Amino acid sequence: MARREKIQSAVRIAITAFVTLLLIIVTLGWIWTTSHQPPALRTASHVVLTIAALAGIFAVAKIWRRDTVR
Amino acid sequence: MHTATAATHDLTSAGFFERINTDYHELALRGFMVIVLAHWFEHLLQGLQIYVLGWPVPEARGALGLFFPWLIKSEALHYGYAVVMLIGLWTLRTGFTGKVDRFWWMTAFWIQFFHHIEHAILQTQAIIGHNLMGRPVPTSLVQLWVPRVELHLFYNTIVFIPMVIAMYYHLFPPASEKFAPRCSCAVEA
Repeated sequence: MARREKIQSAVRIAITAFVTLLLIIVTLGWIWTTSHQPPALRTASHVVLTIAALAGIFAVAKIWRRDTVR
Repeated sequence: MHTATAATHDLTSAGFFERINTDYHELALRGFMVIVLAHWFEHLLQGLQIYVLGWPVPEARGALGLFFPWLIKSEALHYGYAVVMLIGLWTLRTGFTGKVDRFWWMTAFWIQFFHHIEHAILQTQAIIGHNLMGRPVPTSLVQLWVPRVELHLFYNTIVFIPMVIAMYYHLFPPASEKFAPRCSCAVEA
């Protein structure tokens, strides 16, 4: 494997690991807000946490696409 | 003589901004990323303190807040960080010479711009001593609907994600990009 591919894989894995950690926190947040916040705040929290999770998944999908290889 | 002239040139603001977007862009981005990740560490730890350890929200102040509770309660710290982010995103933008990396970097900048306005609203309330809509604590616009911890987890994510995508494309420009990089960031084969 060429140097560039090695570094690219390492960067992709690091970003994926961070997003995974973020998704774990967001999931825990979703569970916690379900039982600790009144309905209106809970719904608002769920909306923003869902968008955050989707943004993380979008980033992972984006960086693993093959068109990023020059 | 030549060295002194060069040093004088480097100390000018135009020279400084040029250097951090060319020769020192890689170093500046690394430094910026260290600040951003340290901030993330605080927010993720706060999430763990609330969601896993069951700490009351006012007591969950991350790592810094364990030692300096007054610091985390201060709106000035949060506003200061928002300004640092805004300045970092703006000053390092011209180093992103590709179409794709510049697009994502500026997306992060504009989202951070709004995030910074939210913190400015909080900071203003802390200064004047009157809170929005008579709330017991300083409250930002979106915070009228969304609780603060979850809202800032959201804001930090939607600023960080385009920033990371920009940096990724900056390091590994796509095949379709035809530009002359001004810095040493792109990883060569």
